[in-house]
Amino acid sequence: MRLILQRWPGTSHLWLGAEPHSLDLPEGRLLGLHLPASAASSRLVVTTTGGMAVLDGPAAGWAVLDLPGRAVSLHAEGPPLRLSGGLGEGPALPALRLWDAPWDDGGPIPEGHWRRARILGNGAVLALAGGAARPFVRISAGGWARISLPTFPLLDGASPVLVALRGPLPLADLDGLTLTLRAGAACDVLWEAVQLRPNSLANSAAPSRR
Amino acid sequence: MRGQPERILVIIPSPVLGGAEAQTLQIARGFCTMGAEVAVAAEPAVLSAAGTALGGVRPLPAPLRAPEGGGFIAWQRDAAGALLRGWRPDAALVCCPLPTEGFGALLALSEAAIPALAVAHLVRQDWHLAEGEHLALRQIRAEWAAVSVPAARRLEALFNLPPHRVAAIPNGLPPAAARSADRARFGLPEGVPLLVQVGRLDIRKGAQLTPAIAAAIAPALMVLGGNGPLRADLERADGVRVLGHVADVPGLLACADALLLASEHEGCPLSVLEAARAGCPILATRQALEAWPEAGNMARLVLRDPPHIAHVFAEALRDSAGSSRRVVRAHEVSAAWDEEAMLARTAFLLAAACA
Repeated sequence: MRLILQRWPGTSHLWLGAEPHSLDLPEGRLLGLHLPASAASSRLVVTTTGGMAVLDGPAAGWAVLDLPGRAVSLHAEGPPLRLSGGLGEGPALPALRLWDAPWDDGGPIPEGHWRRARILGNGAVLALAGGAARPFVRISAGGWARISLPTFPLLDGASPVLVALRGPLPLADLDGLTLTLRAGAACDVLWEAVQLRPNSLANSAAPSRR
Repeated sequence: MRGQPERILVIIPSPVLGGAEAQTLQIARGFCTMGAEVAVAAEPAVLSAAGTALGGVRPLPAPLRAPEGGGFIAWQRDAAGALLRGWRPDAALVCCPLPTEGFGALLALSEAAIPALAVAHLVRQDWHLAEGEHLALRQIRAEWAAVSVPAARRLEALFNLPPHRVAAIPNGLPPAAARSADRARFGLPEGVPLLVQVGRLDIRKGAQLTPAIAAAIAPALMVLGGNGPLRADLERADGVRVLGHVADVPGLLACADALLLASEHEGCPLSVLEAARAGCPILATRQALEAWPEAGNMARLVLRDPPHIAHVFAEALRDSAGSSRRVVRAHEVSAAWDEEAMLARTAFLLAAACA
């Protein structure tokens, strides 16, 4: 996965409403746009040659969308929202990042769902530089945490792929897309993906790592 | 939750460019590819030696090493503090070739409230903290990681951290095409077995054993890739070829009959991974392979004793089935944890330090 184009966010803002704002971008599969503030009631829509990419209620910072085709224009539905202009380029050229391939390590769940995870406990949705975002929780000995992803149709029998960044892996129970973790010892845990058929290579890039 | 790191400072407080520094630059380049703005702070000599290995990373020359006799931690803290006033990052990655080597930089980062991930490479069993280092450690606010699980556990004991508080980030290699064996490129003769050692020519790596090993394995040759304080003596020894710094280590290993790693201790040596990928049999001390729990299945273990090393080398040449079995296992182990896995683990640990 390669970063094709990058415009750093500057101090200018583009108010995006129902009127399409055209984009002149090379072919890419994943687009990041930068919002100076969250727009919880708005919907960010990118029109592409292969259909539309939509993100509801984008948070402040980088909002990342999978592109079904070459991005043509973008607009907002609901209340207008603000996008950051490119550094040194003004509001007409919004800050963005464009990659040549979608993130493919998360199994069947789209990247936007991981970014909208809700965490009950001590944790956050982590990413580096707008990269793949994954829920992370820090659990003390005897503690528990719960992570919920927005509804997404999955086949029965999905199991969570967890990575212990520190300490031993906790007990995990996945109900729909709500994951409950119970730890016997203090640990830092990353929820990396879901696996539809345990012990298969169906949707895991490198099962031998885990 | 704080913001995600997009502007990252990588600090390498080393006097020379070795394996730990090369691995840190590998991660810095990876962060660049992920879209972050990355700068590397190091001594001018280290940045100059890095050359093209810097890739798209911004070099920030800084006097991070105190002159002889100076207060090392205070000097480095002042140098790093001055650096942070000119280029303030969202987060920092600090390379610690030795556990305390980045303490000054970590103090400066703590004072500037910049989240940091410190990665310890070599955590010797006999390492201990001086009184000043104990004081500094209490003021450092950073997350810690080490390049192997045993090193992580030793660091917890050394720093009095809770169990499992230190994460492990084993080294991983980037994808690369297989090299063909071409001894002529390195000026090496055909028709004689070669036992290759790659790394700094010093006592810690066991370079002083080379003349005695060469005498015991003759007519096979010892080939050394690297520089160091023992180079002049080793160049005069019979049966020893000193190549100096070798840029194409995989190419050299493709010509070798075995790699020797006779180190007193290692973190997660890149030469072992490169030999594993090149299909080169490995002879190493148990301490050098502590990062891999099943060391005996992927390498032949040797003592730091020339007759024993010569005996095991002869056995490796004779028992081709046993060597092949270990080569296959070593290849599987090196393929199971690659550069991508190392980068992802480091990226998430750095983001966790900011959360």
